[in-house]
Amino acid sequence: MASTVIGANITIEGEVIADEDVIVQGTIRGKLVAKDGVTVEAGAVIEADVSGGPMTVAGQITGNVTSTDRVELQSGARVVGNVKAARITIADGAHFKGNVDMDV
Amino acid sequence: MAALMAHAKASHRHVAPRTSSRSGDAAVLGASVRIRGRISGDGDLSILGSVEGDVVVRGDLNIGEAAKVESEILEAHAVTIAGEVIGDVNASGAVRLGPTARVRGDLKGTEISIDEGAQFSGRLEADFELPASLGGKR
Repeated sequence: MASTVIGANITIEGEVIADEDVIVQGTIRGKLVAKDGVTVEAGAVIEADVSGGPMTVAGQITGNVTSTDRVELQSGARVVGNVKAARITIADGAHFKGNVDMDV
Repeated sequence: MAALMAHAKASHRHVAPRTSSRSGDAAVLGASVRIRGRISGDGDLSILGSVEGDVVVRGDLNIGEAAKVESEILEAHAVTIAGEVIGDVNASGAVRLGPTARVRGDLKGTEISIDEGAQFSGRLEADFELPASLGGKR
């Protein structure tokens, strides 16, 4: 249960490096590097390049997303940037602008 | 270019957030997390990992035992420190150094308590009125 939660009222400007799951509800500007899963909840704003394991996105990301596993853009997600991942799902209602690189 | 495959309505196996993240404003920066930069916010914040940079929150700040915080500005309401802090602490509430705290910097707050075992090097500034017999205020 030692996961990291960046709460809705928190803004981080800088570099975040985590070896564990990260749940973002607030704002990150800079860079987010996670070894494990990243959950970007609805209402979260990330203006940063994001890399990590499995990612679930319901919030807003401006920046490149790199995942060693899968990226799931849920309905309501808003992603502007390139996504590089082994697998990707884009749900109906997700906004996405950028390239997808699945390393085929 | 991009090969794009949208598995619409993908299985929702992984969708559910793993933790009870609905505890409102609470923010927890876990033990393995390293942050270099500025953290600001309205809610409470727990730092269990390492932070290099300013921390300004309106709520309470809790610095865990294994945490290491190096900052020029550390501002919060109540501040509870069990870990290592290098930098000045400016609290609008109470500052509490637990027995495992290691702090180098000045502490400012409405109340300051330092538990036995805590290591502290710096100035203390707590606003209170000295009795007139002791010379009143500084």
